[in-house]
Amino acid sequence: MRVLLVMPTPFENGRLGLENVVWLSEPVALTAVGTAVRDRHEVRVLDMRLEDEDALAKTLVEFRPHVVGTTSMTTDAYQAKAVLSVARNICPDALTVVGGHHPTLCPDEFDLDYVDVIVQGEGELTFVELCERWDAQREAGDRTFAGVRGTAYRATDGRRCVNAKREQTANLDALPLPDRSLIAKYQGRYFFTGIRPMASIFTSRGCSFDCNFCAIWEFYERRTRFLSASKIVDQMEACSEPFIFVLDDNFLTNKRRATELCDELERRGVKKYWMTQGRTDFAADHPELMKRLADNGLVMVLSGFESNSDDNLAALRKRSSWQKNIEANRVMREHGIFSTGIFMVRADWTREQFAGLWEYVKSLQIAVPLFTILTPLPGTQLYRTYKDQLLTTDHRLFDLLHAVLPTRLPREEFYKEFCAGYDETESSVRDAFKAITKRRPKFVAKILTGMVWFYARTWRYQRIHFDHKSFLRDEEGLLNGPGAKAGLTWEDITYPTGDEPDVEREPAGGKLVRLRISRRIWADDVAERSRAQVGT
Amino acid sequence: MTVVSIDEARHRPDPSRAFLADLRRDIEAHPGVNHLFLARCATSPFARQDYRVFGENHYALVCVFTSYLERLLVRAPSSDAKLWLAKVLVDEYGEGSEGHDHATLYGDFLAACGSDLHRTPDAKVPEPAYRFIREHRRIVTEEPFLVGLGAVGPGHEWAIPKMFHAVIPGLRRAGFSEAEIHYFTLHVEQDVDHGTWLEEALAKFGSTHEARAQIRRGAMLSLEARHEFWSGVQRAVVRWRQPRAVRPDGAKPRSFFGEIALTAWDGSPRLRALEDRVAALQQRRRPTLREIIDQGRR
Ligand code: B12
Ligand code: SF4
Repeated sequence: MRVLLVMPTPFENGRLGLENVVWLSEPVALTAVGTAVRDRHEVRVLDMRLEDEDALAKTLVEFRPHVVGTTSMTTDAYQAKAVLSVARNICPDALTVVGGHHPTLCPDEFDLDYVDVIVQGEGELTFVELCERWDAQREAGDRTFAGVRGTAYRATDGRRCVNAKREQTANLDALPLPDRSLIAKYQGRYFFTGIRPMASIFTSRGCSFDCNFCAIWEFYERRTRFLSASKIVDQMEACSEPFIFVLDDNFLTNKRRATELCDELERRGVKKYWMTQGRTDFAADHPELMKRLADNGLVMVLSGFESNSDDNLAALRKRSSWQKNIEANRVMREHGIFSTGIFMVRADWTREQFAGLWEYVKSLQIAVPLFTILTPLPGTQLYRTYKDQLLTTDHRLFDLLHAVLPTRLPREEFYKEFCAGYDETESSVRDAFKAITKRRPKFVAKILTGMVWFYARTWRYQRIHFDHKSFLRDEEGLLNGPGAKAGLTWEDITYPTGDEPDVEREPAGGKLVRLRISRRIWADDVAERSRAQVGT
Repeated sequence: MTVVSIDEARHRPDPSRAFLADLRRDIEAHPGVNHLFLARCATSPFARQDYRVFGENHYALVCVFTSYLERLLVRAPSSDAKLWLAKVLVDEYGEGSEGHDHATLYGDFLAACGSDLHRTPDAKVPEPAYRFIREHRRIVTEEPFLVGLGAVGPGHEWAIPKMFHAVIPGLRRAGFSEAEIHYFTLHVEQDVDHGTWLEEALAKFGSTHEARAQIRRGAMLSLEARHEFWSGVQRAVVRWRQPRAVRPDGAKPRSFFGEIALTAWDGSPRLRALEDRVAALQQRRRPTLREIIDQGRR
């Protein structure tokens, strides 16, 4: 069978956005599920972010796939649907399949006549079984998949049927490693800022924390699974690119595994520069390990610093503190690791709160600060709390750069303040780069041309991004549409304190695995902090 | 023993009918008809404002469509061809739409989008529409009759219902009433009729290999222009939302030096001003709506 897997563009071609300038990651979801079926079927991956608009139709005509699959996070849900609707038009006999975070957490949205199957949760084993079944049934045009766990499908009579959940693979090592030759044609075109050419791999899945704005732990049902150190290094060795992005949501979470990875890298003498995402409290608490990771090629960590206030962090259930952020940033700078920090502003912020955040960021001297707006993403606790108080349900505005809840400042003023962030904190970036260049001259020399390239591209993006009117234009006509609540003001929104019980949610099936960090410890932290504040 | 391929066998009984079936399939699968922009209209909640840009870019096409038919009518070699062209023309002039011609119907849609372009005949024709019209004028005047028929016949009539089928749900989602989008819904119905009449006419013409090749060529030329047109409309919509996007070209790959040179160019106010002047000049050279309609009549 011929299987076509399509990575949608997140926005209409030509609109400058994150993928064009900051971070273009390999379509690992598609290489992962494609690899799982490639021994039985002919698989092609089409990355529409790097193709012309007509490539999809042309490929469908020329390749004549029997299966067309695509992936979607919330922001590109419409684009994923567009892919499948074109597929249905051109290849009406092909099975159309969608997987990924948004279809898993909001399957009802994909209950459409041109979407045959929704794959929920981890995709590899489900896709293997689905392809086998379709291969056997397609002559008869039978699109019913009763019993294929982890799928929802449309029965012949048009009814939507939901199969039982598929258990996650307990041992990640048992899954085939994504075969990157599936995207050989795009090699060299993926990047993180100026760091390119870059490969993308994953080494774990899930996160054991439960931040209320994040869907990761819900998607992976509060479990984290890890690849063994030898499998990780196998992947790294197989990459011809000098730079690798490790896509784990929280790489910095297990001390033993990080140590084993360092051992393995040293034993096999693998020298790669790599980047990842991880929590600041881990970096702050394990400076020695961070040094060892840096010695083994770790050059950048993207972390959710989120806020300059402990109350805000607690409200997000971040279970960390602003002091940990400061300490983590110091540790990373000291060891020559670029620290990329994501900060969240809130729609109800005042000018003073914005100013306070810029001051904090400047004092941190963080290498790459990224500013976002707290957004109740579908599938999160926040979403369940605020889903009836949204100004818009347009998923394109859930990119963490638009306020989907009412702002306290007039919207124009709010975006003005928000846009000022990068200008206000420029000195932080400069100082951090100077400090890291001293510690890691070789690495900096290696990314120098990439950085020039990056600044050339971002210059064009900045014209949009630094102009608050771009944000207003983006949302013109899109607020207060269907599903939005009319007449809302910022005063109608009660932000969480972090202490409230989770809003009841129907479990996706199966039992939840207990949180690794229990709530009690967090409560103790708070008690300790208040004791420290009163000097006991 | 003579081996007959399945394809050959399929073509034997009535080659022109088989040809038309293949042609219809190819048209319906063409990137111009399945442009992602159209699928995005179907799936994304574009606002009325987006559709205003869409409409303003599309309007000129609607105003001049009959001129292609009129030109072809003059050149039609037989009464069959004339008959089909005349039937379609009657519809375009207002049959089935209470005497309103299609441009008038489209004007209602524009008004619902908040545009008054239909009352501004001295507005310049937007670039994507101008290119599309220029190409079609060339096809119907300079190319052989059957190429022209391929372009305005199957290239339009078999393509439009499919394209509008994607746009209509988006328009409804944006809150337009059925009366406001009558132009679109009418075309889905009417062009199915036109397509059927056309099939009869084409079956008569497509008797030789050469004739079939000419009809196909015309359809494909039209659809390529159509693809470019939709890309242009999409660029206009993106540009309207993001007027500060200096070069809305997405993740286009460029060499290191290409990227730097382009940024240096964009960074220089003088060079940007030069570019703007060239663009203004090009715009000045484009006809106005009134002029392009008059050109069609001439
Ligand atoms: C790399 C990445 C990006 C990249 C590119 C995204 C991409 N799709 O490749 C970039 C940087 C552009 C990006 C941007 C954003 N991202 Co992001 N990103 C990630 C990250 C870290 C890794 C994605 C990945 O490759 N994972 C590895 C693969 C193997 O996992 P997977 O995608 O889940 O795929 C498995 C299953 O879902 C399933 N599956 C998935 N697709 C398909 C398709 C088929 C056919 C089948 C059968 C199965 C299947 O099978 C796969 C294998 O088991 C994820 C977090 C994560 N762990 O996934 C966040 C994540 C996807 N991003 C997220 C968010 C919120 C964003 C942003 C909105 C915000 C931001 N500022 O970061 C922006 C949006 C930008 C925009 N354009 O509008 C959220 C999405 C939540 C949601 N509700 O959708 C995630 C989950 C992070 C989080 N902590 O919540 N992101
Ligand atoms: S620590 Fe990071 S990945 Fe884990 S739940 Fe919180 S935000 Fe999500």
